[in-house]
Amino acid sequence: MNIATMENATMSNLLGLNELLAIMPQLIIAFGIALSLLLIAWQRSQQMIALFTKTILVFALLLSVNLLAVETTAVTILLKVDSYSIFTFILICLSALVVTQLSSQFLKSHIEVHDEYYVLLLLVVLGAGVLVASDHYASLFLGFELLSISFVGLVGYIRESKYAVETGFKYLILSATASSIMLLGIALIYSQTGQLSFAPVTEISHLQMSSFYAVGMLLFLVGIAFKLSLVPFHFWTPDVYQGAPTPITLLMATVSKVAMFVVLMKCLFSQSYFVSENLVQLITLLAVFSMLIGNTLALKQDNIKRLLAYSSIAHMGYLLIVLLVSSQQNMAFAWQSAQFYLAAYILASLSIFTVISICEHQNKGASETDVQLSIDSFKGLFWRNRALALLTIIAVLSFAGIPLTMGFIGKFYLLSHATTGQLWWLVAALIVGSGIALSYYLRIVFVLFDRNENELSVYSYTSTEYVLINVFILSGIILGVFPDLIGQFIA
Amino acid sequence: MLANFLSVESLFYLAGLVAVIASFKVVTGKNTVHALLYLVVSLLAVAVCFYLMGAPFAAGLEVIVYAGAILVLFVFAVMMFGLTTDETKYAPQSKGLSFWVGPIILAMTLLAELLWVIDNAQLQQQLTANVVSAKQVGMLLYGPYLLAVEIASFLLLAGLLAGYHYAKPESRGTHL
Repeated sequence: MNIATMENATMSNLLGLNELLAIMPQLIIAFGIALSLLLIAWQRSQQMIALFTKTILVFALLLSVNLLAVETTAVTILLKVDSYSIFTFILICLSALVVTQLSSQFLKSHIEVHDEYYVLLLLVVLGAGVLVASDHYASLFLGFELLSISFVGLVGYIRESKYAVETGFKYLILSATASSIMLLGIALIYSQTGQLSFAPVTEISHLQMSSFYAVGMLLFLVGIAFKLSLVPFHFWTPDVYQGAPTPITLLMATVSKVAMFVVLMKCLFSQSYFVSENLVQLITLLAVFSMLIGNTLALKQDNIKRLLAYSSIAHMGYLLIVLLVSSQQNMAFAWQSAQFYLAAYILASLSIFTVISICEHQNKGASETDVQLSIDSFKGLFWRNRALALLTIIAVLSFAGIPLTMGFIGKFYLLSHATTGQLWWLVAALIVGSGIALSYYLRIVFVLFDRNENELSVYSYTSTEYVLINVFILSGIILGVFPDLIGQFIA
Repeated sequence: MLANFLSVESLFYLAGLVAVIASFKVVTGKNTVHALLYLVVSLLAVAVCFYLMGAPFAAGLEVIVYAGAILVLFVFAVMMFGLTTDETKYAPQSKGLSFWVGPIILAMTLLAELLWVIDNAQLQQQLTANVVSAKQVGMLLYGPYLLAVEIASFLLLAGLLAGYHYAKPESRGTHL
C-alpha cells in the first residue's frame, strides 16, 4: 500500500468513541490484567485474586451482552467487531468464569499462592477476544500467539505432576511449529495480494490461479487446523488434554477451539474463498477425516480426558461443514448454525468437565498430585450422587446429539446446511461418525448405573459447586427443549 | 560483465542462500556454541536481505536485536548452564581450525556482498530510491497498528509469566 495514503489515514482515523466502545470488553480484560499485576504487587492472596478475576470477567460479560445489538464497527484496520464476534466473546467469558470457579477449588490443595495462574487465564481470554474480533492477519497472528504462549504456561502449571514437563513441552514445540508454518502461509498470501487485511481483494478469481496463493492458503489452514486439532494434525491433543490440569483442559476445549474456529470463519468468509475448488476439497477432506478418525480412536479410550479429546476432534470435524457455503447468501445461515453448535458444544463441555473436576477432587488422596480418571471411576455415580449423574447424562447425550438436547438441534443445523449445499459425502460422514460416537457415549451413561461395588461413599461438594451443577442441569434441559432462547440471539 | 551479474536481485538470493545454509547448520550441528554462531551468521544474512530490499531500518534492528542482544543471551545461557557431561559426550571435540572454514566462508560472502553494494554507485542509487525510513515505520506502528503494539506487549507479558513459572525455584511450604 502507498505509504502516503496510509499516513493520511493515520491522521484522520484514530480511535473514536464508537470504536472504543466496540472493543470495550477486550479493553476491560486488558485493564484487568494490568490491575491484577498491581494487586499482586500490593498483596498476595489467593481468594482476592480469584475474586478479582471473576469480577473482571463478569464485567466483560455484562458489557458484551449489552453490545450484542451493536452494528458492525471497524476498529482501526486490525479489528472488526460484529455481533458474531460479540456472541462468541460472551461464550468465551462464560467458560472462563466457570474455569476460574473450578480452578480455585483445585488450587486450594497447593500451598503456593497462584497469582500467575489467574493472570495467564485472563491473558488467554484476551488472546481469544483479539482473535474473534480480528480482521487482519497481523491481529490474527498476535492473538494466536497470545493464546498459545499463555496456554504453554497453563498446561504444565502443576509442576509436581509427572506429566507437567511433557505436556508443556509438547504444546510449546508443536504450537511454535504451527505458528511458524502459518506465518509462512500468511507471507505467501501477502506476496500475492499485497495486503494483510481479510477483506476481499480485487480480482480474487485471478488470484485463485496463482499457485503461491494456493500454497499460502494451504499453509495458513495447517496452522489453524493444528489449533483446532483436525485430523492429520491431532496427535498432540490427547496427551495435552490428559496431562493438563482439568480446568485448563476445559479452557482449551472451549475458549481456544471456539476462538480459532470463529477467526477461521471470519477470514474465509470475508474473501469468498468458495470460488476455489481446491480449498473446498481440502476442507471437505479435513472434515471427513476428523469425523471418522476422531470418533474411531475414541472407541478404545479408557481415560475420560483422552476420550473427550478425541470426541472434540470429531466435533470440530462436524463444525467444518458450515465453512462449505456455496454462495454469499448462505453465509448468514452458516454463521447461525456455527454459533448454535458452538454454544451447545460449550455448554456440554462445561457440564462434563465440572463433573470430572468434582470427581477428581473426591478421588484424590492426601499426598497425590494428579489423579487420572478412567471411565470406570464413574461406576455407580448415580447411586453416589444423583445430581452429578444427571448432569453427566445431559452433557453426554448433548454431545451425542440425542433429541431434546442442544446437541441435537446443533447437528440438525449442520445436516440441513449440508443438504442445502448438496454435500452428500459430508452428510454420510456425519451420520456414520455420530453412529460410532454413540457407542462410546452410551458406555459412559451405562457405567453410571453400575451397582456391583459393595460400599459406595456419597460425594459431597461445596455450595458454589452445588449452584453450578444445578444451573448446568437446568440450562441443559431448558435450552434443549426451547432452543429458540438461544436462537433469538443469533438470528 | 560482473556488474551485470551482481544485480540487487542476485545479491538478494545469494544472501538468502547463505541464510538457508547457516540455518541448516544450526539444526544439524551437535556443538551448541557452534550452532549458535551459525545462527548469528544466519540472522546477519537475513539482515542483508532486508537491506537489499530497501529496508535499512529493519536490517539494523535485525542486527541489533537478534544478532546482538538475543544471541548474546543465548550464548551466555548455554555457557552458564554448564551442560558438562551432555556437552562432552555428544558434541565432537574441536580439533584444529577446520571447523572455522564453514562460518568464515559464509560470513565472508556476506561481507563481500555488503562491500560490493556500498562501493557500487549504481546499486546505491537503486537501493535508496525506495527506502522505508524509521519515521514511516514509527508512524504506522503508532497509527493504524497501535493496537498491534499493545497486543504484542501483552504477548511479551504472557511469555514472561510462563517462563517465570517454569523457571522459579522449587519450594514447598513457603509462599513464593
